[in-house]
Amino acid sequence: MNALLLYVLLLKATLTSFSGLSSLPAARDDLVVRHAVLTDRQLNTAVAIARVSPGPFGLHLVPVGYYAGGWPGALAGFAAMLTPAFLIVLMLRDAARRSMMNLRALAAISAVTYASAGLVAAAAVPIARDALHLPWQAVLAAAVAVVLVWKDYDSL
Amino acid sequence: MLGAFTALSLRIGNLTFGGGDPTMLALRRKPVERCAWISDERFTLIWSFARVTPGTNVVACFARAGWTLAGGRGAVAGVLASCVPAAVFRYWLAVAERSWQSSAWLQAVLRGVMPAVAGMMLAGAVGLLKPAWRAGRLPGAVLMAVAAAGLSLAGAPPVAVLAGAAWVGWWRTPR
Repeated sequence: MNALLLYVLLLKATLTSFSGLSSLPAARDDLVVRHAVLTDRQLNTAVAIARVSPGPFGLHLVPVGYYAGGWPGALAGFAAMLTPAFLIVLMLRDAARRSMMNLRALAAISAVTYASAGLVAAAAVPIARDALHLPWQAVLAAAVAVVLVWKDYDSL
Repeated sequence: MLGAFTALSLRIGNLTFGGGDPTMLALRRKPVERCAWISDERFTLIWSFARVTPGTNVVACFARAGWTLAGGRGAVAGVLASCVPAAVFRYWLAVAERSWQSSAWLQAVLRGVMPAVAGMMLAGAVGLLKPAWRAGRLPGAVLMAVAAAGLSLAGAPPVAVLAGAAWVGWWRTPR
């Protein structure tokens, strides 16, 4: 896939998310479902790579970009991950700060975050279908989910 | 100041496991607690705004902390220093995975890791609801999450679902 198009699609995913992992549903929708340049297995591997190594989780877009478009795709994924970060520089200017402190704007952001939880869970369904074939694999997935939630760990 | 902040971003951004919150906590220690480069109130504001900035929160936190300390150059240095080595490492892992795809031992490792990733994603979804739980708004948040999951599984595009959620959040809140 063309690196510029990949950048635009991944930027759309990051601009509509409020944490590293929540860009996953939009990325999956565009790259796996619509354009078919990525498989669920590759997306699953990209998440695994991001979560077992140090650094921001949002960097899963680097392996996602690589699987979809080689090294130019990896660069596109990296650029899409970085671009929104510079928005905060503008957001903390006085006028923007006042509008962001608006209760309705904060409620809209919270609602998007809660909806993202549902979208991440929905995106996990095809990935789980691809990953869980044997009973021990289902038990392992459930155990990891329970331990991460219960112990408040962010990763393994 | 620029050099010291870049070195700090390089170390904290690339060596901290666990993503956003542990990294932002580690970042707070030196500029706020040890060196008093940034006041506690200012860093709290940066942290809060980083959480509502689209994309990866921790990268936004490095951008704004860098901007506060050294202007535009500080923002660029903080973001690049905190991400480039980790990005190169992930790229290398993806290349290695693709090169060794046919290897039996790698397939065996992946058979074990992939179910764990499915569990991590589920835990990540629950983690997004934790602020609602702390604020006593869990039922509404769960309802929103379930509705979003249902719409997504029915084929609705994620961006449309998120736009709908933002609209509901906006209009249900009094001015």
